[in-house]
Amino acid sequence: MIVWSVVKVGLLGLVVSGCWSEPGLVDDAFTPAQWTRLQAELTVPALDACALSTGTWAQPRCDRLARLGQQLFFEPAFSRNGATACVTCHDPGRWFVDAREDNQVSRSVTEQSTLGWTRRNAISVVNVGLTATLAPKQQVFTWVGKYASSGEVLALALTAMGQPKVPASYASVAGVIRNSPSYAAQYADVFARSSGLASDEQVFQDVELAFEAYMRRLGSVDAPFDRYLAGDASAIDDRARRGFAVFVGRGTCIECHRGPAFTDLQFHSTGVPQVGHAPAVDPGRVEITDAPDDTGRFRTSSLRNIAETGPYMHDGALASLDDVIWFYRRGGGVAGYEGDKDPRLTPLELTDDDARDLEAFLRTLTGAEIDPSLRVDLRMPMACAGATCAP
Amino acid sequence: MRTVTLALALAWSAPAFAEPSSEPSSPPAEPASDRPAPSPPSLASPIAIDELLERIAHLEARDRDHARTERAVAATHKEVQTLLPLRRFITVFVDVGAFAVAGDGSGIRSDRDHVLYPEYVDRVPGEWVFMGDPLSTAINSNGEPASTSNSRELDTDTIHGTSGLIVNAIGLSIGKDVGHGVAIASLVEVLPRPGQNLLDVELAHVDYRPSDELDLVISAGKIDSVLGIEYRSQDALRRLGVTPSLLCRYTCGRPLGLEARLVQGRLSTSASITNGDNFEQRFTPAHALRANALPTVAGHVQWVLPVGQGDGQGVELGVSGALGPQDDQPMTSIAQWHVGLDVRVRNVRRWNVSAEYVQGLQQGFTSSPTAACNVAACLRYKAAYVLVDRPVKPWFVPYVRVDWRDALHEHGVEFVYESHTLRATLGMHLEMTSRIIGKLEYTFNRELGRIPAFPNDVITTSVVVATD
Repeated sequence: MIVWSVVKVGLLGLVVSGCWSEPGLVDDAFTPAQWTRLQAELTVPALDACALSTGTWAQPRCDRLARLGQQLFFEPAFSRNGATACVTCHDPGRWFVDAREDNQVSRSVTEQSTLGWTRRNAISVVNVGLTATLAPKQQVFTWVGKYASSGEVLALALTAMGQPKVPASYASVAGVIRNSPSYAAQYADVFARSSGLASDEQVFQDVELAFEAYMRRLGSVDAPFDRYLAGDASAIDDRARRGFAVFVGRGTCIECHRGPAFTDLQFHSTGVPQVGHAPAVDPGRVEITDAPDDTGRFRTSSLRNIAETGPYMHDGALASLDDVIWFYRRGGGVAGYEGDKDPRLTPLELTDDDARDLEAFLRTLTGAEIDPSLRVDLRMPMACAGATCAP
Repeated sequence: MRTVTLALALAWSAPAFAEPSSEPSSPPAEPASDRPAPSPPSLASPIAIDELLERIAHLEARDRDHARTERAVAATHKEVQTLLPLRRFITVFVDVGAFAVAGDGSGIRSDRDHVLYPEYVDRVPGEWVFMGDPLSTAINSNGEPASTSNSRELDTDTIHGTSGLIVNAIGLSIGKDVGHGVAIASLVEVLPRPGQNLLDVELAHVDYRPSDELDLVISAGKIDSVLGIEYRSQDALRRLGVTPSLLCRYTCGRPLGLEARLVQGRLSTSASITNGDNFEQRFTPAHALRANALPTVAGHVQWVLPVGQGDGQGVELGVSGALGPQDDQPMTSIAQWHVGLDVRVRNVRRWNVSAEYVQGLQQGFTSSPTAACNVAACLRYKAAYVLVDRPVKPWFVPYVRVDWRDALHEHGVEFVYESHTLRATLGMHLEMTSRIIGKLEYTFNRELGRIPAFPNDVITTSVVVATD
């Protein structure tokens, strides 16, 4: 009888204790359902560097197209001053961000062909292929979402380099291809037509495609966090794990930085004050949509490789991750911005430890460096341009 | 008096007078029975008259001291008699307890990453979509949850733990009839809490009874709610169990206002006009004074059915309601309302049953196309409980309570509370003496609907020790 009573008490204890412990939380933060959802949401999909905006290209030809694009990425002849190329602001040695001067905003070329300042910070072009895969044919490129493909950004680049996107620019771009035997030969090889016979606009669009093909190869998605998400618990340390819980939880960062690229590819105003040498105001996405609600809104930045791609925000106003986290801990900016701040930005109840954990997590989003072969200038010296100098 | 003193002095001093003569000529010891009766002091002894007078003066001084002491004792006694009635209108109590709560101690969890409530994507951050009831892990009669976790609306985390010993409250209750039909009543509680001790004036009102022939009481001040029946026994001294029901938060408030209670035969009515709603204010102390332009009116009507003739037997049916502008909102036109039903069965075959149902709405106000209730929070709620007890012994009362709450509370992007909770509470009430009460209860918390089960059961105890 006593034994039976003890057994009953023991069973009751087991039942009670079973009800009292938090069942199977992942990293003490997420229920199994939440974890499954996070895995599905944040896992990088299969990427095809040759699935371009105009269709999927066959491999050998796609490679040659990307090679042409890589050369053009380093080509300053597109610019009005003949000295500015894509790499001027997207430094291949610095994760394709602008690493010059005080890094407040990107340098550019004014219409007077002198070096000046843009009002916006250059976005890294690393992982633009992921962006294009996540939002095919959607206007999500640039800070304000002006273009639907990374190649189309050429138009913006030309504008920044002093070339408005008008027929005159088409002719200018086509001229660079036609006037270079190397480019002309590669063009003819890749597109199976002569740049000399194609229209200026056609050549312009083909150059856009070459840029796209190149930039789609600038992928870096195998970060420690990706391995952790796939089940390798040792891929990130405890601090970063706690930081991920803050990122999803109290930090509410995931509200906008969601998806495999850690961006919703939407446009929000976080109240970033306009700084730098450029005009004191930046109207943001309203430039594109003319919708008053879009005033002051900019695209959510991807957080992949974020530790390497500072300074941060659309105007590079924040120099470090610590600055960014502090900015959001305060609930975003308080003055010096256009439009209405997203109401979800309210002061966060994060401790200093939370902030450090969060930063540790953000540092786990840095993937492998871009293949060095994609970061070198492959252009032929103009002097030896021609069949004998072909790479 | 002087003569008596002189005689006493002589008697007291006699041995002294005898000593000089008897000591040298002391005879050998003899059996006591054979000892001759003591002879009176010889007046012929050589006594200095001055010494005698000195002794008399000394005795007179001591007599005066004695009289003075007697007067002081009498005065003190009179003062004590004057103060003794205080015992009849001051009650001091201490409520101590121990508790343990499952999980993280809170009754809510966040819908992180919008897994269960995707309708709030882009409206409210998932971390701020709260599932469950933030007060379901209450551990004492105040209704304080063991932890509020990351709650945003209810963020006064007075306990912040999952287990431990606690002094729930130190209370001072005063009730005094001051004559002419006027009485005063107050209840002040001190809540010793880690980091921040709380002083809570729960009640402070003046009562006026205009006629001895009419059972009407008009009260003004910080008064009890008139809604439902649970408020009547919400303090540790009176509560059968340890914790309040899930609906007590809507009916157990103690707002500022006027109140009238009238009993006529089997009919009891009460009505109040108050600064704001009748919600429990303990967790929003900053809002104790409502800034509404219009008051809230509330009432309760109760009918006692003629069931049973025994002592305290009966069945009471009640209905209550409240209407007024919503608290903390920009316009008076934004309304709140509340209705409720209550039943109490008293001592029918020794069974006691209390049951309540309430339903209400705070309209809220929205100015944003994307954020509902962004200007004033919206709240709709339904809740009910049934409490059954049956005394096994006069000092031992086991009880069972089942309560349920279904509520949606949202405020722009600030928060959403999806509360769909069912609870069962088993407990026992032990009256160790008339001044010492012990209680023990276990509460099973279960979430309903889309909310997944999570550990938030509660075991809690309370020992209340009170003066008469």
